[in-house]
Amino acid sequence: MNTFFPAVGRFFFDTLSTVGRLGGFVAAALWHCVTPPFYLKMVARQFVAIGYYSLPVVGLTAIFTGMVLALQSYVGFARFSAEGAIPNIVVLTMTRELGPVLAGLMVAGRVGASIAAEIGTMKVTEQIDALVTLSVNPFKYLIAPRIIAGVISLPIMVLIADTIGVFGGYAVSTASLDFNPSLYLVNTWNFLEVKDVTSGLIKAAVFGFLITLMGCYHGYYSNGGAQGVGQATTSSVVSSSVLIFFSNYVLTGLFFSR
Amino acid sequence: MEKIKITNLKKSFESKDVLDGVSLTIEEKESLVVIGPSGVGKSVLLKCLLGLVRPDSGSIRINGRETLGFAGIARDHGGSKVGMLFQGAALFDSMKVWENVSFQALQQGKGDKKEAYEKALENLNLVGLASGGDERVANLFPSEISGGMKKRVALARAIANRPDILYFDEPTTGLDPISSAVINKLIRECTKKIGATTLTITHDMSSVREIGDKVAMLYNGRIEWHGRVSTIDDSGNDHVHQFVRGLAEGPIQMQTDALK
Ligand SMILES: Nc1ncnc2c1ncn2[C@@H]1O[C@H](COP(=O)(O)OP(=O)(O)OP(=O)(O)O)[C@@H](O)[C@H]1O
Ligand SMILES: [Mg+2]
Repeated sequence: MNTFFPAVGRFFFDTLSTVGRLGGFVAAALWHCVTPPFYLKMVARQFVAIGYYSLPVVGLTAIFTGMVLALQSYVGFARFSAEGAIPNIVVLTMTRELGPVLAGLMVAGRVGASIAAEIGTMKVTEQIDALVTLSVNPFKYLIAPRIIAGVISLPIMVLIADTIGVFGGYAVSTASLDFNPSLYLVNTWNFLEVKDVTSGLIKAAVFGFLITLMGCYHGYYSNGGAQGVGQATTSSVVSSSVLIFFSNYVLTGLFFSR
Repeated sequence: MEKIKITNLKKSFESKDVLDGVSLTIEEKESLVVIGPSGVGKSVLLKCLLGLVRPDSGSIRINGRETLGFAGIARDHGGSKVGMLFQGAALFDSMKVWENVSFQALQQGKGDKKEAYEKALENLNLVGLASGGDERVANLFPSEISGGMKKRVALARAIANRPDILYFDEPTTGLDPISSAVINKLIRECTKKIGATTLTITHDMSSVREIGDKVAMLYNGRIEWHGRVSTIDDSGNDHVHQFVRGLAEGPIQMQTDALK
């Protein structure tokens, strides 16, 4: 009993102070995203690092996902002769769910980790303190460009991933499932609504925000040298992955519940 | 004239009092050296001055203006330009040496890139890294140069903006005696050349004698002793005596429990 209550108290205190710190961090990060000065060169560099260099891995994920979707739904739908629905299944699943979620997870692993490692290293080697003494605000110079680049580049990547995924389904269906190529495309196109695509792109923008935010947050508050930086990368990937699944559920509820 | 006036500055971390009422004055164009055993809070004092750490209470006046503003964190340095040399150099490792040196000019968009490059070479020349128009070091990355060179580059970056206040945190720690002597001499010359007020933190007695006009000893969260460098050998203070001579026995007790 002697140690129980203090422990509970400390747990609540720690949780509260972490939540407070995170809230303050988010507010500051957002504020510095929308107020000048803007470091456009840094935004462009991050855009290339986050978006462009993630394209291969996101594209590969998308094409195999589209292919497997076509195969699996064929196996299922052939049982009650509904193979005609395959184009719709593929395109809806890609645009609404798997495009944004899988791209988000791949980027979380690739980019979230590297952001946390980079900012964490700058933190423990006092490079962030050095920025301040050289009259540059680290939120504006390091954090805002990454968040802006993440929010812009993820939707673009997801649009590309959607297209590649549909193409994967198309390739499998026409090559090995005896689909008529033009009929497949017509079916894909006709059943697709604008909302299917836009909801996926909005999700992507939210994921882009969460991934870059978590990378920056864990990096910025890392301490204790190499071990601290390693911990920051792990925390960044884990927390952004969990947040992706959680926010995906919430957003799906918002967009599609009746 | 008083350039920097610190009054009753306090800072504690998790109930551990690191600074417990530090008061210190630095005159215009004076070079003050702060000494003290490891872990007494010398770096913390410097970070309070720079606005990187928020003191719990007290006052920091620069040019007669209070710098601890609303949030309690030092911000505008009383209108002075400030340069800082970090204990671990803290060069930006994603940038070349010359971009590090001219970082502030590049960010503020003062002049074009070529001008910034010329300026960087000029500053690197001051610290002996671009003598005779040698541009090799300027185009290397920080990971490609030695520790002593990093400190020199960091010194060039600190003076690049021609600040009127310079802070140095252990400029010679971890360097061989010759490199130390070179850095000490550079600090002395550079600060004289640009006419800056300087505050240097060091353990190194040769640095103290070379760089300082005055010396202050930080111990137990307070300034234990403050006087001219020339008087340091007969200060009449036991703590200073022990520190200057480097004696294991004396009033300053180090944490050596782990050895027992
Ligand atoms: N951010 C921080 N959080 C908690 N404690 C800190 C923090 N920064 C410094 N301290 C503590 O303050 C004390 C003084 O640290 P400081 O770095 O100022 O020492 P120092 O005098 O510069 O030592 P050295 O000569 O070894 O550099 C140390 O005991 C350290 O543990
Ligand atoms: Mg220190």
